[in-house]
Amino acid sequence: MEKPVSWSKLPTELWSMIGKKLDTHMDVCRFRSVCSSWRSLIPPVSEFELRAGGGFIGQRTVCLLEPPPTSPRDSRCPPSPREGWLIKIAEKEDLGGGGRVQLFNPLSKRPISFKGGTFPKVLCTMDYRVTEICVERHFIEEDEVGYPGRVRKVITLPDPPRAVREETLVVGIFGEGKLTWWKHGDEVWHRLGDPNCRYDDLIAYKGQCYVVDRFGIVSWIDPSFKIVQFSPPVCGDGSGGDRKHLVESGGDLYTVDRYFDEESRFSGIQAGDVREAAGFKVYRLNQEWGKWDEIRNLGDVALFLGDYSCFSVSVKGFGGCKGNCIYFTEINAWWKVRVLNMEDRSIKRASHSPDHLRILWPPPAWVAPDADGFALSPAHLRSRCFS
Amino acid sequence: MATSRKVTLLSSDGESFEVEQSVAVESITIKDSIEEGSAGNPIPVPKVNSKILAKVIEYCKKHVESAKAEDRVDDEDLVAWDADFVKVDQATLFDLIRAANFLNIKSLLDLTCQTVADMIKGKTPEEKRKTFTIRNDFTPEEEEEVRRENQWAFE
Repeated sequence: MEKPVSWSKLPTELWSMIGKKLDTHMDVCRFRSVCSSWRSLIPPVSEFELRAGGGFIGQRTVCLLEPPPTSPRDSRCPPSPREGWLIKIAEKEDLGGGGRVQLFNPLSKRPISFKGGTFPKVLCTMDYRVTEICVERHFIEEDEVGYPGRVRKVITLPDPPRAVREETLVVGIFGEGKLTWWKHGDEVWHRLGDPNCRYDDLIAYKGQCYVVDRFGIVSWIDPSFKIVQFSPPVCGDGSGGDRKHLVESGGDLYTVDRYFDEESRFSGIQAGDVREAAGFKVYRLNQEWGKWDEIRNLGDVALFLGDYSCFSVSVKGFGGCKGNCIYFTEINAWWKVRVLNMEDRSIKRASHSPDHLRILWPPPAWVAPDADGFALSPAHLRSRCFS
Repeated sequence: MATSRKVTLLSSDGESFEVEQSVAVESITIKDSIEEGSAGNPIPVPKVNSKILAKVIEYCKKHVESAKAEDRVDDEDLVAWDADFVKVDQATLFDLIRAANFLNIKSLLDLTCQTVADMIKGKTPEEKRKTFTIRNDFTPEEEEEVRRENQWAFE
């Protein structure tokens, strides 16, 4: 048996260095919840309201909640399968102190009000492992001048929680694909990139802003706000799909190419029309060779393509939970949540796929009850899927 | 100064290690004592035993070599090597952090601190206490404050 290590003998300046390596709000908060001396080493993450040309930037966080594993004493026994649930929350300012939290559909901005009788009113997160998956930013419009059209997606740099108001840069996609940026002190948003180019998505990756255009060319924004091409187009021969999404998984950058169904492609497209997806192709950027590799099997990973953020979750070790799939909402129809199974390329309504719902919480009210009004309560789903 | 100059390091438990000076001076502590002329020969390294000193030397050698290589060793390969390097038991990791701190080797200190940070991430406070044998020493008032900070009251 290993001799126990006296970690408490580690000098506090080293614990301070370790604490400073934590890069999410959740982790910093929980570091401060262990003991008095750790609490004094790291200040609480300061939240600040970020106003940006004509509105302000709000934040929602996607997390994975897991009860701590009940590992058997005997290390010969295999560990019991993990359970976990994906949720999205936004913390609300509360004058009384003590966080009030709004739950959201992880893929959209829709708040979840129906929770079912067994849903706790107050959750003590210290009883759970909480892993922050992604911080999603959204733009709340206030006045009518100052920004060039309907906001589709924004990101901020540097990433929270180390963000400082005066240094924050906001990059956004507006309208049907115009790229703009704003930084602290500016009056208006600035246009960026080729005005004839339609930009489909953007992401903060390794501390920089990357964007993808309709051809699947990924570029990054350099410190002088120039767009620098970073990859070849996803489909050189023009056979690509209709909308590209950028997502990070396992440290690599992926483009997911969405193909609309035949009707959506050729009918008169108005902004705001619902466009249903017929299929997806997934590509990983091979940075060493500067090319895209098509990925047909995601293994233990599930990709989530939401309206305001795209993220990936590894379901390795989760009891019966399925990876190798893509969860998404239809364009302009955030209530239509679908799941693409990468094995057989089938697309199903999420509410019709119990295997895919285990990771969603509160399950699965946010996928909307189907026509029969059948909505599963958390206890119901838990007893069905986890017994 | 000839780059093939060697120095001898003496661990706390009396073992000698002969290394290139360019490797030894990855440690700012050793570099300073050589430059000040106050280092003896062999250079004693108190507080670091032979097992850990051997590992530290291995790390420094690898990093010096990869910086010198004509085709720069792919950063990713070095990152992968580093990741393997820190796959050690807790006692070794603990000793490595302390050695990196004492010897003032910034990159090793960063690597080992990041490794501990990764061990911390996501776990409950209670699990963290167990992993690192830390006592919960909050006063009742602090305990209440901590609990409120970690609570989610749903709308």
